[in-house]
Amino acid sequence: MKLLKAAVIFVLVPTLTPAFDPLSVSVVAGSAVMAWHLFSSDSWLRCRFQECCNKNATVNFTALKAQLDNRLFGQHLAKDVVLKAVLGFSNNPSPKKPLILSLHGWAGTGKNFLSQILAEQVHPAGLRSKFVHLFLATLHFPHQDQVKLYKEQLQNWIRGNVSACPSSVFIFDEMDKMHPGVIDAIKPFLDYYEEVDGVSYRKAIFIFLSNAGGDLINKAAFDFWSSGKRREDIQLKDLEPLLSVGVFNNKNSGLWHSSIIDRNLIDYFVPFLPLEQRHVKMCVRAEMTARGYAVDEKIVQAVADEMTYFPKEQKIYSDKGCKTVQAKLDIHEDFVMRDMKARA
Amino acid sequence: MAPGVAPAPLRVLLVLLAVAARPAAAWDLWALRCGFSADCECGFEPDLRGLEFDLATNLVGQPLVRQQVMKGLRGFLENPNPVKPLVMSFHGSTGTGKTYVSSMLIRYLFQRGLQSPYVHHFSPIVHFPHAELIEQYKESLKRWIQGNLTNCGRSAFLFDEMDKMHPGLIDVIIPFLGPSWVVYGTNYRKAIFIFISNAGGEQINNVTLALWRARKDREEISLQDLEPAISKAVFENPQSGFWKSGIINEHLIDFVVPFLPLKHHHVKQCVISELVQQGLEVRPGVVQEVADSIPYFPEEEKLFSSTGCKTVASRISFFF
Repeated sequence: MKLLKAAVIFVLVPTLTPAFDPLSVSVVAGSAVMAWHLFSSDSWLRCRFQECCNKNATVNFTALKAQLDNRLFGQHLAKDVVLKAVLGFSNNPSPKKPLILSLHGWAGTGKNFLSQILAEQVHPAGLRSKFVHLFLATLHFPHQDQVKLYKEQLQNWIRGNVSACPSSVFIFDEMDKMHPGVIDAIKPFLDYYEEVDGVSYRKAIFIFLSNAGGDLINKAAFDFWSSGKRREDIQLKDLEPLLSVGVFNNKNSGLWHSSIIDRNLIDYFVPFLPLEQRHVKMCVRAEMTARGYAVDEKIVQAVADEMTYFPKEQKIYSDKGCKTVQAKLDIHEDFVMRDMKARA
Repeated sequence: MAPGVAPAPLRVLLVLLAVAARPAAAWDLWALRCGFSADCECGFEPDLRGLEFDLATNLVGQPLVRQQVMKGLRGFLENPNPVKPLVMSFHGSTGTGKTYVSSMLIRYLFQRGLQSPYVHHFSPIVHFPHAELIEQYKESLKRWIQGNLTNCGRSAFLFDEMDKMHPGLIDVIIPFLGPSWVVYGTNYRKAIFIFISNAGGEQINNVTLALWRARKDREEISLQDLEPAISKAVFENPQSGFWKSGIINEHLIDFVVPFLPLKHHHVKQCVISELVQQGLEVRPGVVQEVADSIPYFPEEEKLFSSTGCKTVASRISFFF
């Protein structure tokens, strides 16, 4: 089709303008067409140089699964839920509402990491994409007395970006530090409406990250461990009702008495279990491979031993998840390097 | 050049202008005709049989709704000169189908459904967010409705989330809801107003539960059981948009449409229709699992779904 158009332009225009020589007419016509393509959005020429909104964003299941299996450790529940949720949503030709995921768990368990992986699958540039928006409660909405301003700005931002690209991804981090009510401002966009003021939000994805409910999840995981059951046996239905009520009634959760839970607009509550020592070791190994070093089990063990664990007696779960692993690895590698130099 | 004869280029221009003006004038007169005539349709193509069929097939567990909506619409549309605009108020807890029915209604009344320029949807969180600007909102709302009713007598106005609307704001449209006068040949009485809210939902749930415990059939629940409780709850709740509103005082609402809470088998029907709509295979195991995963109330009997049919669609992906 495009070739045909080009052919038409290059053949017809010179023949119809006999006053000018065909070469200059072709050059002028060709450059006019190229300029038009470059300036109009969504044309194939422009999308080679700039990022374009992928209007039919379907997520590649195998790619997402591979990424989650290789990079996210110890979260069988989260992987399962997110895979199914995202797959179902992107395969649905006409979803009735945007996909809303609420990720809950202790610090360092992989919530931000998972949302990054997810964003990369929808828009290849990931968090750096023009169509992926990350909001940090303490950075973007810091002052309590300016809540009204934040509400309005947030509404305008979301409205503007979804009308530009219907499959935008919005990630709200530190939801437990968000002023309750800021999120209520965007509730109409999350609901089952065909469109609001002429803009359809049904293909967007909203991800809420928070530490709220983390203590409930940890307790549930610990109970499982104490009763001798396997970690992989924990099911979503064991945790979901706990989370829904615990987050809803927790004053610090940012979703406290929010109409979002009230109206049941959250599609999935995704719990992140606390990480055990073997998962921390997996993190260390992955980090060492990423840096290009050979995996040395002694260093891995040393780094894992340096992390602090809870509860006090049993010492099963890492306090900070996989956070600070990189810093500790730096120190150990330093020692090894010095050791090697000393011997040489 | 002879006086009185325009120079050649000017003549060409005049001819072109005349040629262009004729269709423009015709279009303008056509548009004006729409403003003057009483039976301008503005893309209004009611399909009552289609609506009834759709309600019967797809609306799950709401016998009262179907009855009230069809009665209201039929009576209103069959009368070429209605006495007052049709005013309906949808009440019920979350997920029972209020937004679904209102968009279905609009789709079967207007040619382009909710995208029609003659259908106006108001949500207080988006359109009237700040409490201190209420006077400004009142003014804007009044002008908007007046302007659109003048433009097209058959407009439809949907007011969503009435329980989040500032009390007093809605009183500004009282003149348009009653048997008002006719201005400039426009008939204000052909408009349709729909109010949607969760207010009264708790009362409806309580009455339905009480009637279930008294072993009454769902189809036997009549409007008289529910309407007084709803009106009272809505009128006296200080948070509701209808608080001490003249709309309830002067009985301007023609039809109160209550949405009953949904039971387990209704949720299963929702799952099945969603599966069919997505083109997936209807597996009884999946249907049962999805319906079971939703929380139910009250605590002991676990009869009615707390979230109606919401989140059913997304859970399908999880269990499929």
